[in-house]
Amino acid sequence: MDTLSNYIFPNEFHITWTVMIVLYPYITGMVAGAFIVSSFYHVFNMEKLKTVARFALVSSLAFLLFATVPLLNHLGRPERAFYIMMTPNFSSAMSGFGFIYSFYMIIVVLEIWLSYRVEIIDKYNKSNGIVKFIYLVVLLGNANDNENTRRFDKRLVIALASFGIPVACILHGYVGFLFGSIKANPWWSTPLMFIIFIFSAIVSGLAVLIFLYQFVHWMRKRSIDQDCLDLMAKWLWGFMIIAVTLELMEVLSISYENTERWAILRQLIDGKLKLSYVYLQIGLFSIVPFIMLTITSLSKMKNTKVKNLTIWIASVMLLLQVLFMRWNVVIGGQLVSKSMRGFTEYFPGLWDKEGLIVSFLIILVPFVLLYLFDKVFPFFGEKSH
Amino acid sequence: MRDRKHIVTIFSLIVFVIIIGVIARLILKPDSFGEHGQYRWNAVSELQKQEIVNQNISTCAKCHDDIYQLHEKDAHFSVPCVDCHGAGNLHVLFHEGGDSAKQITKEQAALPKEYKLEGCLFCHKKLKARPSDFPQINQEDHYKFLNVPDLKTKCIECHSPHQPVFMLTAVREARIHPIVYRCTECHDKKPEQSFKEVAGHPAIFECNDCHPKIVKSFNERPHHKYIECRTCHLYHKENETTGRIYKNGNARFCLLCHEKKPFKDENYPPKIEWPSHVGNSNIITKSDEKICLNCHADRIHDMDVKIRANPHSSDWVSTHKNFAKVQLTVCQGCHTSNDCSSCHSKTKPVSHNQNWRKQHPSFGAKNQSTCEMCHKKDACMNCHKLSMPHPKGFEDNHKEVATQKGKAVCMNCHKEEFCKQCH
Repeated sequence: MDTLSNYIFPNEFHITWTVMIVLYPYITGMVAGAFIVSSFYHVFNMEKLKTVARFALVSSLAFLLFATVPLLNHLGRPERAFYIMMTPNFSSAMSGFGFIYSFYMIIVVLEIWLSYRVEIIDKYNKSNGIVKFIYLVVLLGNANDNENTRRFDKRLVIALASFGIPVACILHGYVGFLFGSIKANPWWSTPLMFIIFIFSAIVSGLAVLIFLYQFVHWMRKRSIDQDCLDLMAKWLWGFMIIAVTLELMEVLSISYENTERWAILRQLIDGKLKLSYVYLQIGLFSIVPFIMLTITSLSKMKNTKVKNLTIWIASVMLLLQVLFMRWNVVIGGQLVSKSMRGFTEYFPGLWDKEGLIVSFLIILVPFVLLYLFDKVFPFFGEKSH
Repeated sequence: MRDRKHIVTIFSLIVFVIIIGVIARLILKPDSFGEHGQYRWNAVSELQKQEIVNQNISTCAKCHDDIYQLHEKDAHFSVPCVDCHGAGNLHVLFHEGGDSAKQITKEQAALPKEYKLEGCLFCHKKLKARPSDFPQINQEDHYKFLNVPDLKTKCIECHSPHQPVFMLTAVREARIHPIVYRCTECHDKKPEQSFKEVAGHPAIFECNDCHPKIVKSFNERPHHKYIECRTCHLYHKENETTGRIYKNGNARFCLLCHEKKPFKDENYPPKIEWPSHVGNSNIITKSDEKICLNCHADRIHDMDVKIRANPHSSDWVSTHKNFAKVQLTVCQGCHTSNDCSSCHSKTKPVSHNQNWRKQHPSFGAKNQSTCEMCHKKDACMNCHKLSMPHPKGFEDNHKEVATQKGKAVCMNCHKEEFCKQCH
């Protein structure tokens, strides 16, 4: 309450959408981004990305499973989520997310099931007892595997991946749409919002895959598929340029329009969001990784260790860039008073129900899930000891 | 076909799950959902049947009448009890007794009584969005003004939540007063210039326009350096042209700044020990609300002495002699030796000259307690054969009094012409 400034209405002391609503588009973005990377291989035949294609797909599912957790924690009555299905409201933008989310979940699960069918049959053949039975249930009682089944599976995976790309874009574009369509909020209300969200989603998806791919290989002391990493780094470089440019173009557009909202948004950018937006999101976490990825993409660096480390640091920075972007959009938009003349203040508590520790745990859980999945079906081949 | 069987199976499974979902929806969809919109219509009647948990202020008043009386009179009169104390339904049920009370523990029935700083600031924190006449503080400035170094000091250390500013006049009975503006209602900070120095500035009525003598005398006294008229004369805007103003001379209001407290700075503003400041004996009635003004009115501004009441207890005439013998210095805190001699000298007071017979009725009507310092209460009765001054409503029943007591009683003061003025 100490840093409320200027003209604030009494009901604006506390913001409504907390850090949980920052995490929700952040995790959803990684879902869409990771899926699109896997589709690069499946649909666009980028053979170099074969190494991470299935890893990207499973990552997408891991994040997808937990994308709604921040929302459910925020709303406080998770069991009521099923009412979206029981009593669907087709004119509600929020419930629309529920349908797209469910549809996308079917596509991803189906694609993973088809992609891993050969491995599951292999495990089924090698196991006994209850484990064998579980594999049989997962295989839906059909362990038939031959050239024909593999060919059919591959075709279907391509079809699903092709279909999945627009659905992934809609899924995350939809999150951007939810913000962009709130016309009462001067910081959110722009048709560019959903496009920015899609591109930042691809950036976060690529960044998290690069981050995990290198991290796992360094931990296991295995050699990195350099071609794959270079290609991912180049894509990351390209998409981050588009994403950051769009983010800046949006502000430029509002600034150039110079309508009444710019008076307050200028103060927002220059005041409450100066650190998180100007210095961190744009300054440190956009410009620096841009320079790093420009160097790794355009120059012929012979020292691959330095190159890979540079790419890895850039990916971590871009993950933070996207996180700050979500924060600046979600929280920044709520800091502005509806009077357009003042600001409120927000920072999450450490141990709050919607605080920093809970946020960290929610972010961590998909990674734990990936770790467990890797134990059963190693992403990058069996561990070398 | 055999090699595509697993694909058929999984799609069949998906279709099956969707069918199950549709059936589940039909079964689980709440009754009455969608009858009148995207909600459960039965929920409306269910909500209507819910017991009201927030207790009405009149319910609280049944047991806490003393607090209710204070609350109704003072600035928080429009704040319901539940705002600070919670719903209170269990509290009421528990104390009403009966079967339902048996299921409620004492702990459940207890109402929160802790007034947190943030709780008060939720309404009283300075915000530009609040109406400017609404009492609101910048906590730092407020504490700085009072020289309270610890910002965690709770509001209730000075302000009683039930009677936050100790008003003398009940809020709803306070005098209607034309609108009083403050510069800060339009300006962020109080401008250094007077509005009169700004060309084209709208005319603003100031206290000085109607009360020049009082404002002049206020400006000559020490308080004017630190406070303004509205600091004591709290003003509550009711509409765009009028509001209510309070002549707050309550001792406890003065003590908000001037009472010694451990969390306050010792030097500024000047402070006193309370109630020892007025003596530990019963020489002064501490329930007298304007007790400070009796001695310190001259530190504020010129005041009509009428507002000053006799601070001493009713038996003071008979008991003060013994007190003065022992603690004459305490008396001298307010009185000069002339005050003693005005009664104790053998000569009459200077005022009791040849005109006094004519003048004494109007003086007595206003200063009855002063008369009673020398004269007994029935002194009036001795001459007038009536309780004087005439009580309220005397005009209506004076005919009966004149018939009973005889017209001569009236003629003690009035002449025959006096009756003829009306009759």
